[in-house]
Amino acid sequence: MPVRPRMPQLDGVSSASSGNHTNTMPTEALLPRGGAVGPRSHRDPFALLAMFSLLNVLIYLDRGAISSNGINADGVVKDFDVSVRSISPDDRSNGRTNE
Amino acid sequence: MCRYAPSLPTIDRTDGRTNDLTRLQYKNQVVRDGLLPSAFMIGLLVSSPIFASLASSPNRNEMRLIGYGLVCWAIAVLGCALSLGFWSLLLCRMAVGVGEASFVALASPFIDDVAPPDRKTLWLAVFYACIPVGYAFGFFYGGTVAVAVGWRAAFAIEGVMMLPFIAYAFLSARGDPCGEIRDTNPSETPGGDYPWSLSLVFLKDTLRGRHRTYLLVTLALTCYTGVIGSYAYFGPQAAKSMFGVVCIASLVGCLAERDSHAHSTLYALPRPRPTLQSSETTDIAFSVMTVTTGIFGTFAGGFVLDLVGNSVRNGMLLGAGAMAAAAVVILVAFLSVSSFLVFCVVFSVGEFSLFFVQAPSNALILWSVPRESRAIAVSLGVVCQHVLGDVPGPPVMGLVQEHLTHNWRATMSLAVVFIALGSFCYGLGVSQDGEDEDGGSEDRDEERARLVGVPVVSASS
Repeated sequence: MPVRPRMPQLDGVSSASSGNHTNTMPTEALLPRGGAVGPRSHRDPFALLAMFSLLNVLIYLDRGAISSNGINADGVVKDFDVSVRSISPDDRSNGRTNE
Repeated sequence: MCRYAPSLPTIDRTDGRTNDLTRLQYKNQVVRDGLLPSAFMIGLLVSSPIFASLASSPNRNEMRLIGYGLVCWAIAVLGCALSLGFWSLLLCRMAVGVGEASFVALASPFIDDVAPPDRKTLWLAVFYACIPVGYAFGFFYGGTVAVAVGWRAAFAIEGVMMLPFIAYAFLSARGDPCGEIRDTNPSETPGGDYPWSLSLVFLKDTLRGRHRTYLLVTLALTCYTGVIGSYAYFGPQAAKSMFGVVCIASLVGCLAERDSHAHSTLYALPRPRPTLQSSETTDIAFSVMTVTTGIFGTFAGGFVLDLVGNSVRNGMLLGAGAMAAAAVVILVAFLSVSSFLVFCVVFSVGEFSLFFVQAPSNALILWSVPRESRAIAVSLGVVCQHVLGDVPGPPVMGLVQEHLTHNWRATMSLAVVFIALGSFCYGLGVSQDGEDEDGGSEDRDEERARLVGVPVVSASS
């Protein structure tokens, strides 16, 4: 019969996912039948890490960009006319910080 | 040097009606400004448990799921470029969050699997250190590319930049063992359940104390996220109030023009209009401190945990120690430092200690739950960190400042309570050594097994 996956114990006695630990059970024993889970390999782990890291940079680049003045305040807000600066020409001076 | 900043217009101060109208429209603008950067969160929070549940089902192909998410992201970003108005843009921003969800839930378990055993936390640190790097590039990108070619083109370029990643994900799903669909007996697959069922079961298990280590780490990370978010939002304003006008504006130069808008837009709260020099200086200082300590602190945490042995117990010990140190140092910075430059140094040390727990904490989340639940654990952790952490954190801090303390030193010092609470959670994790999960939750196993369609029996059988 298949074996219920053991939880990784504290301090590395039998951690399924922390590879520095000694697994006390065979890999198959950690998998529910049907193979929902198992340790994965990759032909080029460094490429995978690089890909995921660059992807993370791109995703957070987008988050930073949407918060920036270039896209938000001086881009979208102006183009879609949701700014108070459209109320009156005088607003332009009011929209600037005091100097 | 000047920059646009939302400010109360004074069209006709003698005309009350005009002024009221203007204020209303001003509020509307600020709210809309703030909605855009945070809209992704709605899509992310709703869809990440769904992606995680799908990824934990027997028929999952995680790389392909990531690929589908990235396709959704690219389409959503291109939709932003083609948006017809504010609300269509807002809808596309929410779809961007849906696209991110699969990646958020599935990437770190992948890294945990393929990393060398003695470098797991460092690899996770590399991954998480890209967050502040990406933010920094984002402000630069928005301030240069968007200004040069327009914001629509800037979004379109982002969509194009995603294409190689999409290709990699689908090619990897086809040709690599990590993307293989595993053998599944059709009779054992779940039928008729909602895609988020597994997430709900995991959540119930956690709330019933089955995953105590996971729960403690998530609570600690939520405190961490809430404090970081609050300091990022109110830090410059508090520093300006505490130290008055300072003049180190040459620190980074005109970068402030681009990034100072972020804090004021995220929570749709208007900021007072400080003098140019002081506000830019504090904005720059806090931005630089947060990005640099974020990168180096995250790397250091990953490196040290691998060095001392990447176990759950060691991670807990490191987390408890680092957050306790951060609490003390940040308290000193806000209570007793009178020079802005000294404050920057001391506060940087505190932030470094805070970021130190980033990689170990995320590793602990992966290591403290069953392998098949890691994606769900990560996604629910992210949901918890946002819903209970950096979303309510700044408004609560603002309320405390406005209605309770009226003193920024006191308000910022009070936030240290949450850092200490995070340290306490890690400490509890250390002290409950060996008492984690598997404690008489056979019925939950069976429920999960029913949902996954996988029979589960005890190891002894």
